Amino acid sequence: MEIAKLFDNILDLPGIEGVCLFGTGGQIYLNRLPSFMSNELFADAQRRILAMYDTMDENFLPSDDYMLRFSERWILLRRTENIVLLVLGGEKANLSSTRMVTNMTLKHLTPTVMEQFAAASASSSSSGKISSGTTTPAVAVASTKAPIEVPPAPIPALVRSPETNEAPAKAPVRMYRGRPY
Amino acid sequence: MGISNFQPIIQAPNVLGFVMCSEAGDIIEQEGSEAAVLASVLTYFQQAAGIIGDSFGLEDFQEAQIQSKSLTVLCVPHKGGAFGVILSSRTKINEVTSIVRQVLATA
Repeated sequence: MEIAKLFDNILDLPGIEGVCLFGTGGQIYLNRLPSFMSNELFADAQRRILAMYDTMDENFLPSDDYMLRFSERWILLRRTENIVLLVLGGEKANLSSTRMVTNMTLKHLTPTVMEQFAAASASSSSSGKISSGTTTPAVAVASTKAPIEVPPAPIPALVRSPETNEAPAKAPVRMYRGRPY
Repeated sequence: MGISNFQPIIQAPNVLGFVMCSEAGDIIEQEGSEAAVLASVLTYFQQAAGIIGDSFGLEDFQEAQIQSKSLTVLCVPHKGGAFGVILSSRTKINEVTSIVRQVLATA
């Protein structure tokens, strides 16, 4: 299954406004949040989310899933071993459906796939596509393990940045439901 | 508001306990297992949730659900403080949320 399709499946759910995948070490693997969410703002949010996970793990129960509901939108945070999937949903979004689809997504994010993400985000961050780079220790998943076995073909599909190769100085392209705007 | 007012919450299926905290984090009411542990983080968590929402331009934090393997926690802001309910992970949380909101509305 094409990995990008897994995130398209989330974004295709009615009411879902954005999705983001980042590492517990700070790396941003995929960012399809709405354009109002700048990299600087998201870096701030990311730090706070990780701090919340740490504090709750240490002082309460290790909990992987958080749903934060606000007046018009909610944020779903789902953590696996080294990654956090963030989904931004609107009022019309169905939380149960989102959980079901994200279950499938997380199931497919194996260590091998995450190595591809790490490689893709590392190459894209140099062109300013995915992350601002301010909170990118670039450690955790991107290890030295078996880089040769990783097929390079799916990586461009994940990042969806064909135009950044031609114009690296251009402003980052923001995605909404798989389309640039 | 006495502990008896919270009976509908305690009697709801799969509810293990609850805690009500003031804005300063002091415990106003608590009942059941793990309530004291939840109380120690509830106010912090609610503030953290609000700050995370701020980062996304979201206002008016209304509810949080925390899911671990064994437990689910429902967190609802109440009069500047926080109200947390501990449930088993199998609970239909929407039913409990309705009960909690009804009880808190009368508080």
